[in-house]
Amino acid sequence: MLGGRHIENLGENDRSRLRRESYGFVFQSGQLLPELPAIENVALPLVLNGLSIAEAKRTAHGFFAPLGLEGLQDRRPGQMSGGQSQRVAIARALVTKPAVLFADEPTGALDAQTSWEVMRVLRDSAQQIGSALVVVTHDAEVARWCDRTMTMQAGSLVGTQVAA
Amino acid sequence: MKATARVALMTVRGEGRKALSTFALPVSAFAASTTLLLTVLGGYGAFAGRTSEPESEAYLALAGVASVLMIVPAITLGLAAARLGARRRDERLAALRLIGSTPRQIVALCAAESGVQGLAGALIGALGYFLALPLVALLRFQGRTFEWGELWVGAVPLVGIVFGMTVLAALTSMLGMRQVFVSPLGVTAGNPSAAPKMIFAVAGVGVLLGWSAFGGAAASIAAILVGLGLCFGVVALVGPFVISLLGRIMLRFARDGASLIAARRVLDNPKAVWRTVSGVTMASFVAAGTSLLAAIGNGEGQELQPGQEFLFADMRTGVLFTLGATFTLAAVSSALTQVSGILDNRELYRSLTLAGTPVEVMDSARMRHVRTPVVVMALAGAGAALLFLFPLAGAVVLTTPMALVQLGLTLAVGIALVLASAFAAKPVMRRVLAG
Repeated sequence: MLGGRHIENLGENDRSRLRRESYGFVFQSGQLLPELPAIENVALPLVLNGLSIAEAKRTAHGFFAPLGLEGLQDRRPGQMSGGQSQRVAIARALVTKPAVLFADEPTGALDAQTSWEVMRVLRDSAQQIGSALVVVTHDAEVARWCDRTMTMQAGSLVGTQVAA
Repeated sequence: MKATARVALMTVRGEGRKALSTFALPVSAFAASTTLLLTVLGGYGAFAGRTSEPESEAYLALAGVASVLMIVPAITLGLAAARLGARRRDERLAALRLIGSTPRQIVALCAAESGVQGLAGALIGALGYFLALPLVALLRFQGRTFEWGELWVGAVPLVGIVFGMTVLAALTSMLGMRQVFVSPLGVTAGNPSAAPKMIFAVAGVGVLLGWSAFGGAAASIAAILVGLGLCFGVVALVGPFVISLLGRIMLRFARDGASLIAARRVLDNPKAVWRTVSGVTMASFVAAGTSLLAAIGNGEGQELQPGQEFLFADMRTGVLFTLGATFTLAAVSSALTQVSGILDNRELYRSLTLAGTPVEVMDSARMRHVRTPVVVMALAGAGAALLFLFPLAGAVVLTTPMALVQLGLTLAVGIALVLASAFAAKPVMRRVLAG
């Protein structure tokens, strides 16, 4: 159940809308559209939700400075560093102000310093818009950013820790 | 060399199911390209052999024009085939470079892999040529169908084409490897790579020279071919800019996610889009021009010279065949590019779906990426011919509108064929998303 709706009964289109509007996703390798500049990558979920392209870009623009991406709006994914691309992916995930933000190994392809910055941005941004943040990671350093850590081993839950 | 062979075997095995885009697709493209090349050469040879027929010079000149119109996109498809699945191959080879493979090993690997693809495709294409012979022989020109013997290119040209396709495949992909040497990290990071530019010009000149030599032709035919070659050269230079301009217009008028993505894809690589539509553009231009000329020739009150009774009807048959072949090539090229693009970006498409992008949006973006350039360039080609010939053929346009209707229908069927090829990639997308 989410928002009073049974998810398993939803059709393909409704599921797509649910994922787009209620959830945000950050993947290990960003998965940005290579042809689109950063600003349009971030604006895309809003355009898919029915906003005009100009309006979506205006809204997306507001996410660049807080994520340390000022001046990179017109860069394409191939022209940015791994850390910058990942922050653009975070902006794309946040732009619809989702209820839940899923991050699958968000720092898996980054060095320690960049990982720290990405996690800070991810946590702070999620807090600001009031999203729950669910992170999947193999990295204990990344797990320290979380309020609650659930450890899985071979597909089974083996422990739960709540940060002090 | 042993080490290179071992690495080649390991990497190809490691591709597993992904080998569809890295092997099967380029092979299909080389095969289509070879079949058409051999068929066109056979057809030209048949006209060259009919020297005793009336108007044989005119037929030979027209066959030369039609052949160049079909050969250039066929070779372009061959060149494009060497790049199909190139992104993953480049990533694989760049990774090998990063772990210490020598440039020599990389070049050998690349040449071997692409050469094998070219050879396999050319052999399948030669088989396709044999299978197509009975069908092509049914075409009626100069009042009779072709004998099989007339359409047979001969053993030496056949072997030459198969060998040439193998070398073309190896050379093109080796030239495309420059970025792996310049920046292997850039390749693995997914930076856009610069396509070789000279290869098209060199290939074009080579084709023209080879063609002139093969034709052994009279000065008038050579002049027509050189003129046509120059025309191709100029259009090849201008084409990508026109496509780029079209991309900007598409971007300006983009109103939703699909049209935005389609416009950006056109702008991202206008040369690739041009490669798909260049044959269609030139064929539409010539088709429109020839249709009008045929209509003029068939006009009421025209005195036909002896031997001309078949010429104008044959011109229409030739136009239909040329258009059919170029549109089929464009459709094959488009389908291969689409499938290759989907397979190369499977992880991206899966992630986008997971993040809520409807699959219809991705399908629509793919369709627009093909549809808009094909429709616009086919109409632009035909429109340009009508504009050039209007002073000469204006009255014909007004008095025999059926010529225009026929042309319009032919273009519509051709465009539908290209669009159907893009539509055919839909199941591949579904399979990729299903994992």
